[in-house]
Amino acid sequence: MIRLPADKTGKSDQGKNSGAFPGLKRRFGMEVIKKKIKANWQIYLLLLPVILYTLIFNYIPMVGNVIAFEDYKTFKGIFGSEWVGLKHFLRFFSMKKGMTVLWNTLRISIYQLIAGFPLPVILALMINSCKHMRFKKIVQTVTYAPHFISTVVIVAIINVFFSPSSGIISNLLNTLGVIDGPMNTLTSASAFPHLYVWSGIWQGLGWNSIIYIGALSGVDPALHESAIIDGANKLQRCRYIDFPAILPTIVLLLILNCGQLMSVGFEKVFLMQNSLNLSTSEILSTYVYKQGMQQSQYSFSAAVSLFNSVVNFAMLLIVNTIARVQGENSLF
Amino acid sequence: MRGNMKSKNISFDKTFDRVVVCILIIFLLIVAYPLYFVIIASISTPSAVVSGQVILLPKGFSLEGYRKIIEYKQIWKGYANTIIYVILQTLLSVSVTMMAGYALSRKKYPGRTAITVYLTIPMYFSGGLIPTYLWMDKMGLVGNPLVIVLLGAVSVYNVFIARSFIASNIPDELYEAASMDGCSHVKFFLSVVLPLSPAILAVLTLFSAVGQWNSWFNAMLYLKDEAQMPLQAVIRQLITSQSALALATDTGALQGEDMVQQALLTESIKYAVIIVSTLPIMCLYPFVQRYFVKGIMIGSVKG
Amino acid sequence: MKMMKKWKKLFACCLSLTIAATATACGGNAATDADAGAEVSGAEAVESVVEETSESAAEGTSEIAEKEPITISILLPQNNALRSAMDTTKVWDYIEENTGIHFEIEVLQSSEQLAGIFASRDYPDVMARVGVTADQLATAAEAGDVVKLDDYFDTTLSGWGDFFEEYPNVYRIEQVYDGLYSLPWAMLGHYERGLHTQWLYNDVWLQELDLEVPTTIAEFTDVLRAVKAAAGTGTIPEDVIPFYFQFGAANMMNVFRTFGMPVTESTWLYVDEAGEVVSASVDPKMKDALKWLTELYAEGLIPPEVMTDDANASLVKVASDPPQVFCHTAFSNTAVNNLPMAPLDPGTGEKAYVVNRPFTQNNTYCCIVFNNDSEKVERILEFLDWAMNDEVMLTINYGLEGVVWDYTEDGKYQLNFWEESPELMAENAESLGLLNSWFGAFGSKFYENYYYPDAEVENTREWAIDNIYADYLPSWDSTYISAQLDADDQTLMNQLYTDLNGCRNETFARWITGQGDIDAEWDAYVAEMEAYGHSEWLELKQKAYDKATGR
Repeated sequence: MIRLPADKTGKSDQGKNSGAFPGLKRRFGMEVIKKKIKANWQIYLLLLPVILYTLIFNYIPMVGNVIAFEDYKTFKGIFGSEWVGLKHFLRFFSMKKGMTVLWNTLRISIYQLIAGFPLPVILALMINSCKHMRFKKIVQTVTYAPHFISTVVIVAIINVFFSPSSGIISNLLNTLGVIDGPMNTLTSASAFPHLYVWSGIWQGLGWNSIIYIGALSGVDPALHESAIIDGANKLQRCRYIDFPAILPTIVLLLILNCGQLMSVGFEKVFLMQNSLNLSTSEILSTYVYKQGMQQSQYSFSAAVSLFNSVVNFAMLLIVNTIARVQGENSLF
Repeated sequence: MRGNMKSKNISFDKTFDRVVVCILIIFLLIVAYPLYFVIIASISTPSAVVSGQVILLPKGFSLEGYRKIIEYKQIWKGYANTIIYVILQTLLSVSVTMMAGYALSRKKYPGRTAITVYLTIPMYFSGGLIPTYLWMDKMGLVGNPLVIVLLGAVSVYNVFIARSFIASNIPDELYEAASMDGCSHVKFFLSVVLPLSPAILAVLTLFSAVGQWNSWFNAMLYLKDEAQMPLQAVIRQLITSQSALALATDTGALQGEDMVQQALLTESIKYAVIIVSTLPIMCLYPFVQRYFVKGIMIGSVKG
Repeated sequence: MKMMKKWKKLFACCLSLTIAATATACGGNAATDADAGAEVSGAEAVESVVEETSESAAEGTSEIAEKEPITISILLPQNNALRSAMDTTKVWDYIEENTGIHFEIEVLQSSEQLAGIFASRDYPDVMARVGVTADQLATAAEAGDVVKLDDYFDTTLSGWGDFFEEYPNVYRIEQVYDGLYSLPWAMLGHYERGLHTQWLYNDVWLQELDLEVPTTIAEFTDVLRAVKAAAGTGTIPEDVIPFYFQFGAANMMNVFRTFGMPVTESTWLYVDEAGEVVSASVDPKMKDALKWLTELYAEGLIPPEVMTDDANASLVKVASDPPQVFCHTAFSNTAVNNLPMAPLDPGTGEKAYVVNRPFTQNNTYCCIVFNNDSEKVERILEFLDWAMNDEVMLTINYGLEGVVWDYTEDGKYQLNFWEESPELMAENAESLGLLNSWFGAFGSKFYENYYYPDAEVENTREWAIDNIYADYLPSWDSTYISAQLDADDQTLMNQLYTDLNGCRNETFARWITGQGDIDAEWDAYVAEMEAYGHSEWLELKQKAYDKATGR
């Protein structure tokens, strides 16, 4: 019989996973753990580089976050500055437009997640089901290319294409008689989230599908062969062989992406802003940037980013728990 | 009965193929046109581009943008630096990531969850600009090109991706079987996991190399010697010392005529810069695709 | 099996390479030293060239030339399109020749790097105009890291002391913490008014249409209509833009000025005769300006792109050849066939103005000396004093004598070329000075001996000031200038202005694009601005003005 490696391991993973450390401790006591550690010492050896790296380059600088609770002055140092408690957090929450800005941020990122997450999976499955090797390679290479266009140029292209009176899209729609006169996509607050999200999807779709295409290459062709013998059509094979094979990767990325909810890229939004779309395009990072741009408000921005991190991390924990309860391949 | 179903499937599959190809072609066109636009815009005059006259063919043909970039001496030095940084960081990144990914994909050892949490936290909590700078300064890394290779070399995100790949392709049972024959984890990792994971190695190499190729921020923060600058930092210097961002925020040091000249320069090389700076790294992908070959892993395990 | 071996080898290779690479990179310092050695020999090569060229420049400035050679590090901003060799220009050799100071140049890579430098307190000896913020400078001053220049006004820096006595406002604008910690870049000549935005129109098209130069808003509107109607005829292109500016940017302010509000800076403020700061954002005169813009927008005389174009795109549009824009406002006359035009009579009884910008730009901190080493500080201060000499000041700012400037027959200085000729600037990049990227003090004494050839050339900026704008220049007193307030006030000011700016821009943009009724909604708008703290903000702005003018 043919094994279903991906599917099987996916399930066995979560079963054993949930009982890792604390469970063992209770059941077997220190002796067993010591024995296990000894038996697996090479595993720890393999983990050593990443643990050390993370310690040096992530954890040690992380201590600097205390400046969020201080009035940081460079010459007094991180540990010598005056302690002000929650002053910067309170200032952040007392900002007049705080709620609007927070909502704008969430709206864009949730939209981005819902619209942008499934498409790379679909693209990867479609490319995978394609038989013409050359066509497949062309599609992959071309769709991956936009990833390399810098934000400044992406925004410039958006501006040229959607330009109200001289843009190619405006001209096209005018010729077709869909609209009459200038097109107001760039200058309309309601159009901004669409423009932002879909241009992002355009740019990132090919790149984001690479990981799934890579995962799909791990599917045993024998599975497909036997499924064909069993009379499965292509759609069914996609659904029952390919999709389950990449499901662990999908779930993993979904969890990780949910933990990015508060982080909408600053530069692109900032460059796409204009006075007419400000009511939906002002997000947390641009707003904070505008407020603090003349001063080096390290403490204030540390407070804001700490707040972001906490929200993101909380999101991650929630989604991770849901995934675990649902029996999917959770992060931990 | 079976034959009938098979022929039904064949016709369904054909339709399915056609639909997929059609969708892909439409998508290809949507993506390809703006790319084509970048190319024709790079050889048109800036004012024609800005006023929407460049649609299907370049207008006011000029290679001025390319000329200006090529004349800029630092570009070539930047290329050389970038290649060195990319190679070093990718080697470091892929090795550390694969080791960690494999170790985390195994299930039966104490502390696995703790280590996972330990690695997850830095994805969300960072030290921030100033504390990180001060720490790098203390370690003597400010102004040292090593910082470019080290910072950002290990992405926990990639570690988890590697873990997921390895977990679904190399089941624990395989190691258990091998360990019966006296195979240790390190040996198993080197002689079984790595050969069986060309796809993830390719993906990690691509992610790391592209990430480093496109990065400029750390260079502009930590490097002081222009001769050590990577390509993207050089290019940013060339076009964005008076970027739209700087102008919009009134922090630009220029005023008047020099601002106009800077804007004209920026506009004339904006598109050409993309072509010059990304063609080499874009060629990496077709190379990587070679490793997305089906059936290597399970096939070789069985054999 | 064979394949496995291959991978194993590859991985082993990777690992060893990584380790090797790390090892080499750790030894990076050694490599840097070697580089430094190479630099020295390069400098020697340059020196020999300079010896020949700068003999004449050394005259009369030999006072400190016998001093020991010394190396002083300086942080410079990045090169720009017009001055593309600020880090290698021969002006550095001229300085070394005359003072013995070898400036070792570092170029700032990003504003974040600057933040890092201030946080680590690992400063260069001197910083040029690299965008230091008031906050950064004040904190460093508080820590005692920066040289307080006031202490030397009676001794080493007496020339600068005299300069600030003559121009106290320049001193007050530049001041932070408890004194002066940086030198300004100030150009105080009659023609140096920072005419950021003059009115420029396409003369050829006007003649093609057989029309007069308009003098009032009503006439101007008719001309714009005629230009639009004539699109596609003569040299007027099909997609002609009759009138163009960038919404919210400096060049839009000219519209406000012509409606009687002489605003000069980015927060739209000016000062009335009583010395009260007025905010044009809520000025009733603004209503007329906005109504006019609304009319232009509705008729398609300004394109919708004024709302969406970024700074670069708008500059490129204006400078396009063949021209696409009939009338725009800009710093200098770069567009084809364009001539300057006087501001238009608004027809509301208000007097029209052009811009008259402050003597010196606010809070730019152009030359900061750090307390790294007392010998170096002494030498830098001597250098700064030596630079308070017309000839040196000209050389450091504009470039070498004989290339960029010359003496006229009657002993005055005269520029041979400057920003009007980008080609010449590019050709002579290695001889150019640093202009506003470093310090400068051009006061009345300097201008006594300075000759403006352009003042007699028609349609130059200088000519336009004397012949077209003379009656429209507002008094210097109406120009808003500001000194740095304390950190809390400054923070509050920024915080308030973010909301005020957003509210104002959103509302104005909405009105201009024909959504809403200006008269009906004006009061509600003013009330909304008030809710965002307009009065409180204006009070702070007044405080900063009072501090700068010493009222």
